[in-house]
Amino acid sequence: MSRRPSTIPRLLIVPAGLAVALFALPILALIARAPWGELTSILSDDDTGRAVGLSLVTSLITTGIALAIGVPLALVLARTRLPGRRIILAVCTLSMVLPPVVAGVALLSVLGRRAPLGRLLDDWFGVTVPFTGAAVVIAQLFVAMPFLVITLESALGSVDRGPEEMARALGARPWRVLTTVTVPSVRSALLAGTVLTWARAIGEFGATITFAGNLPGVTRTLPTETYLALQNSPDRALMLAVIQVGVCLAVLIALRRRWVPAITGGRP
Amino acid sequence: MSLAITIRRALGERRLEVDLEIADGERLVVIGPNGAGKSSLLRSVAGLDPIDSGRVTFGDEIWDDAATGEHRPVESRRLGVVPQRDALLAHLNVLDNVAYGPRSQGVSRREARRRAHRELERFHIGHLADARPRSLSGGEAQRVAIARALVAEPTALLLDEPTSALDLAAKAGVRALLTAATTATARPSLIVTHDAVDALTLGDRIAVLEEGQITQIGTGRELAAAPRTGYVAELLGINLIRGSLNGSTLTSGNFELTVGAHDLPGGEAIATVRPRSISLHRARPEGSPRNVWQSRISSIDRTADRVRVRLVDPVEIVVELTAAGLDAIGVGEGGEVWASVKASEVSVTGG
Amino acid sequence: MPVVVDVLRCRLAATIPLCAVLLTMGSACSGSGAPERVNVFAAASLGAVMAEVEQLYEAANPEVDVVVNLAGSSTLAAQILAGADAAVFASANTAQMDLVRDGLGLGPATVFATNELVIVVAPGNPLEITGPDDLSRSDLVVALAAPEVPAGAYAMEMLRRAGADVAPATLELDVRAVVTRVALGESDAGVAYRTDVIGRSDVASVSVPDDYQVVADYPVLAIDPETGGPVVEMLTSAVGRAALNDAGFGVP
Repeated sequence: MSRRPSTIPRLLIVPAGLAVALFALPILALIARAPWGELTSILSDDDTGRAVGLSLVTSLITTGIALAIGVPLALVLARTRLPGRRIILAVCTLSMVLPPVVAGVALLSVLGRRAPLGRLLDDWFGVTVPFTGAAVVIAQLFVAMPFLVITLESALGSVDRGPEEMARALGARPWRVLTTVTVPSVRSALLAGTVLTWARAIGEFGATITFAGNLPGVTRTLPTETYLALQNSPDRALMLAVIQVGVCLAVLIALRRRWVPAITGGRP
Repeated sequence: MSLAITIRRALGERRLEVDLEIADGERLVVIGPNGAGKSSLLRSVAGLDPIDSGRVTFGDEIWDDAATGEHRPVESRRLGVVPQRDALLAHLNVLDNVAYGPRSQGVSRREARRRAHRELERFHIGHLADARPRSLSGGEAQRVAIARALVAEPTALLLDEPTSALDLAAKAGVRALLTAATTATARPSLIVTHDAVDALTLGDRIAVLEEGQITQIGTGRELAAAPRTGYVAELLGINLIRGSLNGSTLTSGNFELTVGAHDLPGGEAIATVRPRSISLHRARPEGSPRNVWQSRISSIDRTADRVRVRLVDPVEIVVELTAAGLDAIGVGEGGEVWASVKASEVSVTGG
Repeated sequence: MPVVVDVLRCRLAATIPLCAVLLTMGSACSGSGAPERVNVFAAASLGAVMAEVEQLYEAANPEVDVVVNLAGSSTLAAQILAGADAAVFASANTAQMDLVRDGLGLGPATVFATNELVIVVAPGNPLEITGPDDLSRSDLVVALAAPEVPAGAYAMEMLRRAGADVAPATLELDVRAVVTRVALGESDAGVAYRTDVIGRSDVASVSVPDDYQVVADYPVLAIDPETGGPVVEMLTSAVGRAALNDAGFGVP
C-alpha cells in the first residue's frame, strides 16, 4: 500500500510530539537508570522466579477464562436484542474506569469472608477466596476482561452482517455460522482483545493486592514484587520494571503490526 | 415447484404489499426505483426478515405463515442467493466458498470440494479455484457467487441486483451466465433489479414495484407497449435491439443501426433507444440523422396526451410522441412511416 | 487502547520524578505577595499530628503556608533525593532518613516520636487472642505488613523475640492495610502500630509485652534549616508532644 500524502495540519506535530515525549521519556529514563549489570542475578533469584511464574500462570488462566466467558458475552451483547443491553455493556466494562484498589474492595464486598457470597461459599464448601491464587485470577478477570469484551463487541457491531446471512442462506446452522463466518470476520479484534486482556492481567496490581493480598508463591505477582522491591532495593525494582516493560513492548509491537489496524478501521 | 409469495409488511412509513407466484423454471424480475421495497421483499422471501401477515410457500412446503406463526429459517430453505456485491466469504478461497453450501448441508469436505470444482468448471472459472475473493474482479466474483448459489441444487434462486455493481462489459458476461444457468431448469428464480436491461433480458415476466405495491406485471413487451405508470414508461419503455456490434454499427438481421460512442470490443450487443428520441415522418426526412428507415405501424396506444406507436418491419420498436405530432403525420395503424434517430441517442451495452 | 496497559507500569516508574517536578513547580510559582510556602514531607502515619501542627504553626505565623505531603517514608525519601523542594522530612524510620542525609550531606536528625506495635483484633476480641503466641494458632487468618516495609520488619522481629512461628495469609504493602483487613473481617488478627488503631471502633488492640516489643523511632530533620527549622521546633515543643500523645505516639 502506498503512503498517501499527509492531509493533517502540520501544527499537529507539536502536541503529537508532546504525547510521544510523555510516553517515551519515563520509559527511556527507566531503561537508562536500570542496573543492567544485575539483570542476570535478578532474573535467577528465587523471588523473581516465583513472581514471574505466578504472574504468567495466573494471567494465562485469566486469559483463558476471559475467552470462555467474554466471547459469549460480547456475542450476546452485539447480536441479540436483549433489553438493556447498553446498560449491561456499561456495567461489564465499568471496571476499566474504576480505580483498581476500589475494584479490589468491590470484589471483597462480594467474595470476602464476611460478604454474602463469600460467606455462602465458606459455609457450604469451606472455600475462602481471598488470599488464594483464585483471588488473583478473579481480580485480573475483573479489571482485564472488559478489554476483550469491548474490543470484540464493537468489532461485532460494526462488521458487515451480509456474510453471516449469506452463510445461513447457504444452509449453515448457527454454530457453523459462528465458527466459520462470525469469528473469522472479527479475528483481528479477537486477537487484539485477547492480547490486551493478557497484558492488563499480567500488569494488574491494585485489585490483586486489595482482594488477593500478597504472599510469595501464592498471591505475589510481578507488579507486587516490584512495588515491594521499591521499598528498600529500588535498583531491583527498576530492573523488574524494565523486564515488565520489555514484555509489554514486545506485545505492543506485535499488536501494532498485525492487529491494531484491523480494529481501528485501517487496513493491514 | 412454484414459489407463492403473499407478503404484508410495514416498511417505515409505507407498507410492502406483494402477491406473486413464480412458476417452475420461471424467471420473475421485480423492478422498481430505490426505496420501493425490493430488497425487503427479497429478504422476506429468503426468511431473513419477518412478515407481518401473509404466506410464503414453495410447492407444499410452508416457508412462512404469519397466521400460524410457522417459519422455516433461511438455512432450511435450501436457497441459492446472489447478492449485489461482496457475496464471498473473504477468508476462504474461491473453491471453499463454492463448497461452503454443500459442507453446511453435511457433505464431506472432499465431496463438497469435488462438487465445487465441477461447478466452477461448468462456468469456465475453474482456474480461479485457489484465488482469494479480494483478488477477483467484480465480474469474476459474481460468477463465483452464481456458481456457489447453484452448486447445492437450490430450491429457488434469489438474485439481488446481480449486475448493478459491475461495469458494462462485466454486466454482459454475468447476464449471459445467469441466462444460461436459469434456462431449462425447473426452479423458480426471483430477480430484483432497478436495471431495465437486466429486467428485459432476464425476466420471463416483469413485476414493477413502486412504493411497496406491484403496479404492473407482465412480459417486457406488454409493459413496454402499455406502461401503466410514468416510472414504467420511463424505464421499461425503452427499445432493446439485439445484434452484433462492429465498430459503430449494430446489425440485427437486415437492420443496421449506427450507435453512439462506446468502449465495447464488439460482438453480441444490445442497443437501447428511448421511445421519445425517435422521430416519425410521413416522407423520408431531410438533414443529418444517421439512422433513417422506413417502417410500418402495427399499433397505436393513446394514453392522455402521449401516444405510443409500435413499429414493425424491419425491426420492432416503440416510438412515443404527442397526440398532436401523430395527427400531423396523419398515418394510422398499418400505414407506412419513416423513422429517424440520432446515433448519439442510441447506446449499447454488452449482450 | 494499549496505553491503558502501560499505566500501571508508568505510574511506578514516573511517579517519583513527576511528583518532584510538580512540587518544585508549585513552590516556584508562589509570588512575593503570597505567603511563604513550607513543604513538610511526613510519613503517612503522622497525618493527624501534622494537620494539627500545620494549623498551629500557621496561626502563629500567618505569612507562612505549611503544605504537608503525606506518603510512605521510602516514597518521600525518593522524592527528596530526586530534588523535590522539601523543607522538613519526618520519617517513620531511621533507614530512610539516613538515605536522605547521606544523599544530601546533612547532619544528624532528631528522634521526636516513637511508635509501638500492637496486635490488631476484631472489636471485643472474639477469638480471645492474648499475645504474640496466639498468632501462630492454625485457626487464625493473620495479616502482617511485608518485611520490606518498616512495620513488617518490626513485626517479624517482635514475633521472633516472642518465639511465635506465624504463617501469615498475606503480607500487606503498608501497615494500614493490615488494620483494614481486620476491620473488614478478612483477617482475624494482624500486627500494626498503636497509632494505626487508636480511636478506631471497628478494631480492637492487644498490647505486646515489653519483653518482645519493638519500638519504631521517628526521626525529623529540617532540610532547609531557615524555613523548616521552626516547624521542627514546634513539633518537638510541648504542643507538638501533646499532639503526638493524642495520636498514640510515644515521645522520648
